[in-house]
Formats: sequence, C-alpha cells, structure tokens
Amino acid sequence: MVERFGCDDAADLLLDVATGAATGADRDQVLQHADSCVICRTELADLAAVADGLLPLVPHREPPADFTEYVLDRIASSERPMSLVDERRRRRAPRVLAYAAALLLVAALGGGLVWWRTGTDRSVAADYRGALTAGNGKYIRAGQVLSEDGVQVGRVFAYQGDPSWLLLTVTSAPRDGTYSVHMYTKAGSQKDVGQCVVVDGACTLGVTIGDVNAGEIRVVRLECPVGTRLTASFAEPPAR
Amino acid sequence: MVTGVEVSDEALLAGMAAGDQEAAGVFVRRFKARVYGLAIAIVGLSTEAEEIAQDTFLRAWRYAGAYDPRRGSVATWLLTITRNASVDVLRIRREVPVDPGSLLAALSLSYDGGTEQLADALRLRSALAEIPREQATSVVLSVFFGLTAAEIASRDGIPLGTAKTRIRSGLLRLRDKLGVTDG
Repeated sequence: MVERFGCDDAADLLLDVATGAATGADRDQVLQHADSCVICRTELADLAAVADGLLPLVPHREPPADFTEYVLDRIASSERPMSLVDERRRRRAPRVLAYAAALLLVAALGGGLVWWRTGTDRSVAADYRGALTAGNGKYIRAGQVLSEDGVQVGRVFAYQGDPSWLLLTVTSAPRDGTYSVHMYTKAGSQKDVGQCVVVDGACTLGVTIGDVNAGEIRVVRLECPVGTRLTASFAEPPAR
Repeated sequence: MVTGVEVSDEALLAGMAAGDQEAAGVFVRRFKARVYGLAIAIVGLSTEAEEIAQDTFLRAWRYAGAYDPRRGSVATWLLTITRNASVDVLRIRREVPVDPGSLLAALSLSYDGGTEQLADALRLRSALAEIPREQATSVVLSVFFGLTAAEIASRDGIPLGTAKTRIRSGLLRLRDKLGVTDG
C-alpha cells in the first residue's frame, strides 16, 4: 500500500524546496502536495519569496569585456525550438539512425566485454577493433548520468567515428518531462543536441554530433524547464 | 525594435521568446553584472562563473516563453536560474568546501540594484545583520550554496532539527523585516 504524501511529509521538505536546495524528486512531491493544500502552498510561497529576495543582494560584478558578444554569438547559433513537437519531428530521422548504429556498436562492445571476462585480452582487443572498424570509428567513451543529488540515473556513450555520435540512456530520472540536452566541450563551446522526453523516468537519445570530437566532450546536461537537471560526464579518457 | 533602457524586463523577455536577438542583447547587457556577480559569489572561480553566466543567458533565451510573472520578477527568475546552475557546479566538485562567511559579509556590504528594489534590499541587509549569526549562516548555506537542512546538520555537527530551526527562524525573521512577499 502506498502511503499518501501529506502535510507532515511536506513540512519535512518545505524548507529545502523553498531555498532551492531540495532534490528534484523531493521538490516534485512537495509541489504536487502544495497544489492541493493551501496551508503548505502559502508557507512555501512565503519562505521562497524571502529566499529569492536574498539573491539580488549579492554585489554586482562585471564579467570579462567580451562576455556580451560571446553570449550573443552563442544565442545566434543556438537552436531555440519553435515548438517541442516541431523539434522532435525534425530530429527524429537522424536520431533513429544514430540510435540504431549506437545500439549495434554498444551491443558489439558489450559482447566483447563479456568475452573479456572469459577469454584473453587479445581477443577483446580484436573484437573492439572489429567493432570500431565496422563503425568507421576510432574510440568510444562511456560515463554516468547523475541526478542533482549525485544518484546515477543513466549512462552516456560518445563515439568518435564517421559519423560520430552520442547515445544517452536515462532509466530513473527524478521527474518526467521534456529535457533539452546540451553538450559542452573542454574548449568551452556549447552545442544543443536535441531533446529527451522522459516518461516514467526513462528516455533514450541518440544523435550524431557533427564535427565535435567525442574525446573533447566535457559534460552533457539535460535540463527540464521546471528546473530539474541531469548531468552526464565521462570519467575516463577515450580508449584509443 | 528594442530602443534601450525604457523597455521593461518583461518586454525584453517577451521579445526573446519571439526570437528577437536585439532584445536578447539589451537583456544580457542589463543583467550580466548581476548574473556574473551571483555566480562568482557562489562558485568563487571566474572561469566557472563566466561559463555559468553564459549558460544562464542561453537558458533564459531558450525558456523565455516559460517565464510566469505571477511567480516573481524577471530578475528573480534569472537569478534563480543562475543560483541553480552554480549549485550544480558546486555539487560536481563537492570536495571543495564552501565559505558562507565571505558571502555573508558581501551581502551586507553593498547593494547596487535599481532604486525600486533598494528599500527591500536595505531592509533585508539590515535584517541579515540583526539575526543570530548561526541563523544567517544557515540561510546563506541553504539559499546560495544549495545545502539541504540535512547537509547543514552534517556539516556543522548539529541535529537535523536544529538545522531546520535555524533556517526557518532565519527566513521568518527576514520575512518579518521585509514585510512583503515578493518583488
């Protein structure tokens, strides 16, 4: 039997939600409760207003001289979706192709890893090389997708080849919704790579990444308009 | 066409939602010092703060249409995005300790915002200086550095209930001083 989330539960988390410190899952629960509870909704609004009111008190600081120009360049080159439906439709074809390629390669590499446990290093190396050759590739990187509180909620793969691609699988996101996916390189550039529609905590996104070098990807971020963020990073250097 | 400072924050955001890059230019110039100032106050490093500030404006551009004026001012919305992005960075490099003391001092030093917010800012600054130090510190840790009550309790070696009381009491006293609920 599922316990109903009530005022006592909300009271435990209300402060963290008001100050913005709560995890996505906690925030969702409290906001859902507050929708139907005027007492908690009022207290949350009061506390959040005070917390938010503190943010502008921080002294202003001018960023570097070329900041505005750089931001506007990024805005000019960014793909702001006209609508979520249009964006999904536009990206669907290449995404499906890349996803299929990704699944094939990951399956091959997965098979190679299993074989590694029962065979020789030479065999797994040959298998790895074979998979890369079949995919016109040089190397593949893997990493974890983490929620805001550091819990692993999925995996990320980046493949350097022809074409290079990114595969993102989320299995237990704290909140459903449409997440915009942004890729950041070590050199500081940013590229919008699509959207991941999370349903029941899960989504998969496979996209080609154009001329971005897979080894240069620093982090991939998934952002939901309501504030929930997931972060995918690569812990290991590319295996060349 | 955007002509300059007379354009309201809300109008600029509406222009951005419609894809007006000129509005975005005015918006960035208007808020960049506030956004960068908050980011660097939280993360401490200029390179990271610059990246956070850039990301904040990119996010504002992307989600301008989702802004709801009933839930707060444009500045509050934008600074909340900045705070969240900064806290994300802190959580990634979680081994680095945060320093609420220097931020607390900075909060009470100066305010260079618009005149319409000046009275509220002055009241809040005054209240921050008047409430017990441990309450002010807990509020800063929570609001700016994204620490939950449980994390503050662990950090300061105090019971969870004490941490919650400090945050709640601090916020309520600030609210009483402020006398209004939102800007």
